[in-house]
Amino acid sequence: MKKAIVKKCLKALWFLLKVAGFAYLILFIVFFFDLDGKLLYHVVEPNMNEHFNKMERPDLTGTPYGPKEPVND
Amino acid sequence: MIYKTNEAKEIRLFSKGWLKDLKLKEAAAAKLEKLKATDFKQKAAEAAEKIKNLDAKKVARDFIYGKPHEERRLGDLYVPGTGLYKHREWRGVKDTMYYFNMIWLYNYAHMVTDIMKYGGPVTALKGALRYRWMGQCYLTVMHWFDRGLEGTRGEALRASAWHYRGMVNESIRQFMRMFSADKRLNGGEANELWKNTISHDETVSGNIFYGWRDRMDDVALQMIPYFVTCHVNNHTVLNYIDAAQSIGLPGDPCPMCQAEAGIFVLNDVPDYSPVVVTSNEACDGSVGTSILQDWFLDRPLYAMPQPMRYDDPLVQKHCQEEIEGCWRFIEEQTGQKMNWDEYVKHAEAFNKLTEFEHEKWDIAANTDYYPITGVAQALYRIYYSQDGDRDIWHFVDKKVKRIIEKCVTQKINSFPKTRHRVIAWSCAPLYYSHWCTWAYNCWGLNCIINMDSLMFDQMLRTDTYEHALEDLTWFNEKAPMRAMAVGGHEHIFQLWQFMERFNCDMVMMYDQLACKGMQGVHGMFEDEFRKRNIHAIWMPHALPDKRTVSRREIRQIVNDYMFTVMHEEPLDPTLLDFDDNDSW
Repeated sequence: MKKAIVKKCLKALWFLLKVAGFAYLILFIVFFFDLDGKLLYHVVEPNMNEHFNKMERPDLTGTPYGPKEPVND
Repeated sequence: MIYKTNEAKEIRLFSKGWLKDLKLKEAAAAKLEKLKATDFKQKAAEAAEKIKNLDAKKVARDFIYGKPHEERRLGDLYVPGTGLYKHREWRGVKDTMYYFNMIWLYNYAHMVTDIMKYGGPVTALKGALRYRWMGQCYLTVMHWFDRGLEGTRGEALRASAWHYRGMVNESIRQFMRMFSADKRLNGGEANELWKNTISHDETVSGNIFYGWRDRMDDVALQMIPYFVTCHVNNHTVLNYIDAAQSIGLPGDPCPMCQAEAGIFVLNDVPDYSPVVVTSNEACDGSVGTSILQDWFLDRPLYAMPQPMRYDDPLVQKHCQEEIEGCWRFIEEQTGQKMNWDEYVKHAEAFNKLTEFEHEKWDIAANTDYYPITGVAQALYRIYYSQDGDRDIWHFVDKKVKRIIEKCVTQKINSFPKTRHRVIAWSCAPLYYSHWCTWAYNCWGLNCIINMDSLMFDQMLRTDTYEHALEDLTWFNEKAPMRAMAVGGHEHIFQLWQFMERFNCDMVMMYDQLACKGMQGVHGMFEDEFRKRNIHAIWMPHALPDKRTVSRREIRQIVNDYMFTVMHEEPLDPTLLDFDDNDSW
């Protein structure tokens, strides 16, 4: 019974190690071939730009320019 | 969805004719044509010959330790136009794995933990979708590391990367504080954080606010939305420069002041504080910015000007009164009293940072064992001395100190290809602060120190209130640009003393084309360089605006000087000319 549990645990550990190793390898590929940079440059940045270009912004030149009120009042 | 090509053309995917726009057919046809024209037999023979002549030992050595400097061909790694890498540099097993594990993975992971620690992913996401400088700019931060660390190995790679880590952590802390306190992101409500945050111009030193750091925080208005963005991703700032001009302001003042005004014109500064403290630092352009800030922020404001001739003994009393006036203003506006003990605690901690800075300067000046790149030295120094005492600076200094001690005791020269020791003078191109790594990799020009690193050189006494105020005043007067560039001609000409002190034989003379003050002394510098027989390269630029003088043009100017005046050959010819016009 004990042996079976240990075996199961070792199997699970081995599986986790394999997943972690695979993830590490994928991340190294992303790093080495600058895939993070390529995704940001080709896709993320232009779409964020589009989002910000569309954003409505108030015309702050209409803000009155005069004496200020203290915040504690 | 938009896709941006390597030629910076934006194509709307899944819209009419998008496949045609991508020119996949043409690209495939060109590839096919090339394949057809290829003589595979000859290619195979060439490859076989190459393999036959291959020195297996050298290949193994290059793989394990990385290629020697002259064989790296770093310029071949770029994707033309974009500044992206076909692949990141192979620095040998140890350094590549260090870069991957301790820089790339470590920093991505810590960015996540920093965001969790300072307010959570929801707040960060809200900020990223609301503010262009966050959503467009800061996601690309790892490329900032890449550019600043290009070609570095061993201790230089490690020490310089820690500087970047410090700046990233503090930037995240600051923008998360802005977002957490921001009325706009919190349903228009003034929460407790809003009430307990002091906003100030980035040229007002963080040291001024130490007396409130136990209950409140101080965050500079432009440090994160403007200054750091120019270094990380120089695309963002162009929107702000254009915005300032769009309301009828002239295009010829300093583009830094224009950009700082532009973020307000576009309503892109979070509403995170009930009060604001401004300054006339660095010059009269900043006074214009402060006027616009006052108008657009529309809240209680204290202007804390510094005199131009700051070392006149007659102005000291006045400056001390200005600082006390600022303290009174904060107390009156927020109802929070200044805590003297808290001031002392942070001032003494900050002195420790200054002490270590002096040690760094000493090693940089007198040995070949200084392991920090010119860009890491410059940005870190300007960032922490402006920002004031924070835990992260002590953490970074501890790490860097260990590396420097190792370099000195083991006599490790991190820049062995140094041909000239360079001092960089005047204000730097923010979009090309990493020119130093290029200049070293291409020409062996090692930037030892720069003008902005030498500002704020002031210990803060805390034994009496009078001494503390006196030193704090001096500290604030020795702020960026004011300390040298616009603080009187005797200060800008301190270049000669610093050249000698840091054992430099060449000057990289920044030529900020829109700075009326520095343009005024251009001719005097020319005369002095000639008289003193000093090699100086004038580097024209327009601070954050890469459209005026591109990075490529800057490199061409340096190349021309090195070929025609110095009669030298490049260490890495692939870096002489490459297209990075649309890079970050």
